[in-house]
Amino acid sequence: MKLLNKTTLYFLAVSFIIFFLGGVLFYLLFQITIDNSINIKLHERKEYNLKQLAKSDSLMLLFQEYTDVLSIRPINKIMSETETLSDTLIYDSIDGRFLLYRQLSFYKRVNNHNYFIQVRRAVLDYTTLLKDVFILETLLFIAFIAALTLVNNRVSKKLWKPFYYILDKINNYKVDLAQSMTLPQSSIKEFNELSAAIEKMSVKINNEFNIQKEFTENASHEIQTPLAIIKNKLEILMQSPEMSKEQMDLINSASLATNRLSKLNEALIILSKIENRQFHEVDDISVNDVASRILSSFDELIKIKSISVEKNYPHRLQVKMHPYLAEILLENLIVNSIKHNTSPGVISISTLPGKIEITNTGTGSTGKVDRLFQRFVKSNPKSKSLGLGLSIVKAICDTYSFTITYEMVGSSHKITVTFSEQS
Amino acid sequence: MKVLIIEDEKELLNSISTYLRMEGYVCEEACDFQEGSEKINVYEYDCILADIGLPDGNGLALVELLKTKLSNTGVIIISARNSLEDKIKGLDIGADDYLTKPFNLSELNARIRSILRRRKFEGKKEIDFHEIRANPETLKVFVDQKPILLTKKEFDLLIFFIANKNKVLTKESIVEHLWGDYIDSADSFDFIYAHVSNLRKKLVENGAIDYLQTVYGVGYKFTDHD
Repeated sequence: MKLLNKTTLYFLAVSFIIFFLGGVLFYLLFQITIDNSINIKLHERKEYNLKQLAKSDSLMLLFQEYTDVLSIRPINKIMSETETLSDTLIYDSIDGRFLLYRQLSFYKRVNNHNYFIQVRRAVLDYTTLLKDVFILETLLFIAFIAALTLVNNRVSKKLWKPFYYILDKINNYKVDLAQSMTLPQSSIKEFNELSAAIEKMSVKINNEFNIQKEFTENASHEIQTPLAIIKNKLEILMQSPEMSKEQMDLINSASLATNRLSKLNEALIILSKIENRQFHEVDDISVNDVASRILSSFDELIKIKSISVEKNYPHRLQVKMHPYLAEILLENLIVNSIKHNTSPGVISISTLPGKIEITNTGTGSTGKVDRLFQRFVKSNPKSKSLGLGLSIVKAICDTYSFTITYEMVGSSHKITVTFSEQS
Repeated sequence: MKVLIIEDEKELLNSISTYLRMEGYVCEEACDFQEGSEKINVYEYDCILADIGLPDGNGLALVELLKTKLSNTGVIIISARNSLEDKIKGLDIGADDYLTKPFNLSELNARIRSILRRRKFEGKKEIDFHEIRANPETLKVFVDQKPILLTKKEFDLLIFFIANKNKVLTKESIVEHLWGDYIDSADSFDFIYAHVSNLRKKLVENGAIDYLQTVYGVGYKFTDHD
């Protein structure tokens, strides 16, 4: 849910309560005001009627007034000195229903006669009042919601514009480009604070990234130099005349281990460089051409293993990526398809719109399919390989959002790299 | 042939010059930028090996210095960083080749020979080894004037063997020479045997003496000694 909708919802809930309470208060206030004014009017009427009564007799008065607003009864004795206010229902023959009246009842002695006098006044129908107030409130509430929605949609879009701009900037931020973010100033304090915080953070990230990058490079440098020394010393030692087979075996083992360590170091450096996205240069790569070039460089190996290569290039596949990574990606896949092939065997490479499929004949299942792209996973535990080839391939695919899938087709292995959904 | 090696790592410097001396080069050593630039200014060399990461300066600056002298000296840059930018920059300012540590001395030797061949012997670029003659430009190989047909990789292998004649070459150094250094070479060793056998067969069938010796499990030696 968008922040805007969420706040609107809360706002509506609160305003609903306020409107409801406001309506009740409004109604009560109205009622009290009307009551008061009726009471005042009744008292005025009382004074007026008493004056009239003093001038004439009660019967005259009765004819002058309607019975439902005034009743004067001569009585023998005054029952009470106080006057009482009460509500009563009187049948109205015109309306055909009972109407509510407020009456003021009192006893009074006028011109030596005792009277019981009641003055009445029709009270406004409270249900009508309630209905009117309710309708008014509802209309106001609807108008309020409409205005709020309009303001939110029109104004908020404008107000939140800097926010969405910042969001877009963060989404497109690439740490490997080694530049901190610069965000524009807006007229809103909060957004400026956000911009400033993000700019500060991006500077920090950049610094950290550079330190990390430097560390990786320095570590590689520091490890490669002693490795180079060991390797070269062994190479010179190997040239000494009169070496026995045993001595040569020792040197060979040491040399192989050194070589393995150095390859491992190199592979991990490449992997971390890919994952740190340090290859950001992009070229238009012809996948067909690169695949063909790699295949031809392994021509002899392919012939030695009696592998036949089927190239299906119905489609010229162009991909935007770093040339070195394109090379590593395809070389790893093609070398794998040679290494894990049978002899004789078949490699089939097909370029389709947006993807390349490399299939090779092989011997049965590789087992852990789901772990195939993880580091240090080997199909054959006895293999001397580092088990990093496919993780490098995977890292490259992840960098460019390519998808790579593996499937067994009979006893053949099929790797598909999808570069993009469209051609 | 006079070679200047500029490398701050003493042991590495030592190994390189030992190997190159065995190959018959005259080696001069410099272990920092200062010493390297002085030697470049004073003497003439056929080839210079320069480490990029020197304690008192960047080896690339030495290449630039050398290029201002307009000399015909070949330059190989050595770096511990397998950095594409360094490589491109180095080759841009006029270096002939680029090697990443750790490298095989046999590989370094082959690269130096290739550079010297390109730079020094304008008229004669062919490689001779007794009855075998190879032309790196046309990729043609002759045994006693008779042309034999080799694949590109077999040709490269032959040149690599001749460049490092009388030296023990490990299978690993051969794989790296032929297919570059980032492929997982350990698994490719089995191929090497078949590959070398093919080359040997083609040479011997066409009348060449079998100069290839197998050295225990280590590798091969191309030699005219016993």
